[in-house]
Amino acid sequence: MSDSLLSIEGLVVSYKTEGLRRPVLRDISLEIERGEVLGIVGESGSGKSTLLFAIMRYLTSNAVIESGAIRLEGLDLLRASREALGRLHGRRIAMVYQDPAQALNPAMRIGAQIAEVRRYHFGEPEVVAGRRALALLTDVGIEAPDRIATSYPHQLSGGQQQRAMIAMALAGEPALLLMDEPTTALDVVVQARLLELIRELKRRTGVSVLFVSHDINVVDAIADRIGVLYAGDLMELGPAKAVLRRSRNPYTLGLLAGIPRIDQRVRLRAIPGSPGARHDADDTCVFADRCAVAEPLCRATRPPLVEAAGRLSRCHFANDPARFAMLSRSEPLAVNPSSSTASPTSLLLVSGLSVDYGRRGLFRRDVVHAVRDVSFALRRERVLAIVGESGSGKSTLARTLLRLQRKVAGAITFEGQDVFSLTADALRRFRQRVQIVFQNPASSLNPRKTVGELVARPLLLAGVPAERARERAATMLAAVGIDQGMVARRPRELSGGEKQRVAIARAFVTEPALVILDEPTSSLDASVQASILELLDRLKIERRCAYLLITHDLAVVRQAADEVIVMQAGEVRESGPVEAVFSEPRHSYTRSLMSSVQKL
Amino acid sequence: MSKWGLWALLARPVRTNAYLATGAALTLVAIAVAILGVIWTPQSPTGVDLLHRSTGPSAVHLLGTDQFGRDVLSRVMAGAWRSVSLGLSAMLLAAAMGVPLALAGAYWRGWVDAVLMRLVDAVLSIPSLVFALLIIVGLGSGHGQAIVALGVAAAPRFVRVVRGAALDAASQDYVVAARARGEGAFYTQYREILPNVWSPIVVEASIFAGFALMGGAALSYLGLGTQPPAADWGVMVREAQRYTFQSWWPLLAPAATISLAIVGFNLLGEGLRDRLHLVDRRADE
Repeated sequence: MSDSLLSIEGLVVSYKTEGLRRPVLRDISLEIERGEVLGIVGESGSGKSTLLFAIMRYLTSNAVIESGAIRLEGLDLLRASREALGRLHGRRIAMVYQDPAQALNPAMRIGAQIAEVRRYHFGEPEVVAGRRALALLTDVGIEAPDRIATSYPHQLSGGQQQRAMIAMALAGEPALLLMDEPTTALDVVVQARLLELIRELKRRTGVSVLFVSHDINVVDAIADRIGVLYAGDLMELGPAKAVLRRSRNPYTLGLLAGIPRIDQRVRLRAIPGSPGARHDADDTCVFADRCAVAEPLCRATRPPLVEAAGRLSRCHFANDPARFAMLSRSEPLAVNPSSSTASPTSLLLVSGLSVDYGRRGLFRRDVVHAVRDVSFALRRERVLAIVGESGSGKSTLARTLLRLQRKVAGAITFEGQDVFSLTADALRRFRQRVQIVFQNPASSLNPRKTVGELVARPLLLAGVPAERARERAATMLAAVGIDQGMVARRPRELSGGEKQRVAIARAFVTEPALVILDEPTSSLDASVQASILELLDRLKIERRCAYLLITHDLAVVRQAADEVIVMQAGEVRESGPVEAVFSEPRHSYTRSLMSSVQKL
Repeated sequence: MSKWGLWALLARPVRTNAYLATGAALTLVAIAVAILGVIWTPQSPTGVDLLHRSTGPSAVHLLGTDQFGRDVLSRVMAGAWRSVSLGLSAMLLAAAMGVPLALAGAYWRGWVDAVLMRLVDAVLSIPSLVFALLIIVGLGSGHGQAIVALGVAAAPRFVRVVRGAALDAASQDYVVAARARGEGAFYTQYREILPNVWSPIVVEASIFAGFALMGGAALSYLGLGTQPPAADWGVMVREAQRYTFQSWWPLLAPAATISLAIVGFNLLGEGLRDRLHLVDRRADE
């Protein structure tokens, strides 16, 4: 504990709900050295936010700190007075939040918000603080700092907002920055630049960073050391290379094996089950239920954090690497069979499609050209990916293909029929043949309906008798891995992965020829993502279905698609077979996307 | 956490429960008395006792008698049905008109919504009681007319409150999903959106029932609602005020019950608002 800036010792935190105490952090001990970036990787329910809030003492009122200490430069934060914390926050520790749009005060100019920190902590007069704010904005790489300083948060782009947030955090010249998913809300190109900024700031100012994220690739790009958190337990902690390249923990290995790669197709292996806090795991390994190499010992004794090859790992078998051989990174997968072997008939034909998007009220008309002159063809049983960042028009395109949005020009032909001039009967059939799976199942499943009702509804709508619809829904649910016992439950009682399975079942129950997948895995935890991709791959083959995969994630494209279209600002920049586009991107935009992706 | 935040947290559970418990209790008592008053009163509400006119409370007349020697307690109980049922009926009417309009606006948006909301704005710019009076001018006075007037006057409030929640629900992917699988407008509005906007409807309905009860009493007081010899609380206040100097019990009793019923409905609404928001937030997690 020689020179560590922050040290957390035996921290145990639990939440009180309905009279029970559920542990969310179990005996966490870690240290952050000066000038170091410690990355914490965790899925939902891992306790990563609780850890940050405990350091800031922002825990909710039902959180109980059972034991432990958090020391910053020797001062015990858990026992410090409110006044002492007030002097510390913004000065010695500062926090950068996931969503800068919410963390910045919308009614204050950016410059004034940054200057406020200087005035509060250093008592600088307004003019001096204002000048300092400009210098800080320049430091975080904002062009035209004068203009930005006098702007309000909503006038800035997401990337600029996050930079302003970082400038504000740096204003107190803190020793430690806490970053909570700081890049998650950003597009990949912006994300890459922000990570570069954090690296540079660390070099220049010697600030330490606790960087929390669910995205292993991002953490890998930034962290010197990495801690892997699962269900409130620190599973592995050590130098980044040791943890991510030569892991000695089944959970870390499982996570890594489930992540699609941008450079090649690999056989993804999902961790069975779903992540989440275990409430009863006081004397077992928290991961035992999902672990592929668990032994009776793992369910009888909680493993200690043991030293293994230069890192700490919470596994009884951390020093027995042979056991993990079967878990380590999986073998490459053949490229999807080339187009000649698949059915050559085209299912969906889009030509010269343009769509305007805007709010059209009685007195209002702000129209944006969301999609401009887009053409492509999708053959039966193939997967076409549409890649683009937010605002590229890819979601508008999807809605137009479903005939939920009016087009301005062009034609969409599905199974030989013009989608926009279908008769009522043909439209009803079209609605069954084309389905959609949304990004966020929490929003796409009506919270007031049961799983059984949700999946049976498209059949009832198609005129299938109730009894038969129920049977078919149950069969479909079984096919996606939702067992009979969940049929009467409502969405909120399911995990994120289970919800997405229900949404997929609902899409497939009418035996569609085309399913539009709108970011189907991006709201899911890493360990669940692989199982959903696997399920989609299986359903495609079994049910002879084509996919239109809309995503921002190039690795998912590599994994799941045959062909790809790269969109930017409503226009197609590049298209072709995935292998060709990925190995030799021709358009500069595609190249910048590729180079921004953090590779593991 | 700021000092204020801490206080709010400390105060919250107590306040929530107290609002809800008090409001529900008062509302239930009001409804129970209204129903009881129809089938039983301690004395005949119209029975005249010429020997005891304008007396204060006594063992026989717990709340005294009015200028004709009628038992005030019995009259308050008998009048409760008209007052309470007027509040509830006007509320049901307002909801029956407002909710479908709100759902339609949120579902179709565009010009349907724009026209609807401008109409709502126009009506809301007139004080509801004045608007209700305008309707009474058209319909004539009476108990049923008062219900229609107050219900119609309040419908725009329902539209506004429910539309907000319905817009939120209508922007969810489950509504897009419904359209994508070819659901009709009716199913989408009433089976997909409506179940997700019950909380604001219930809260608004509860608060408005109290408001309508007061509006009904006011109309009766002005002689535009319930017509004598039938009596509700408003009519009773009107009749009693001329004899206030002989006995103020006939005035105090109906006025106090009006106040208690309004407070009850309002507290119930506030309590429900806290409780339902709490539940909704939990459902999101």
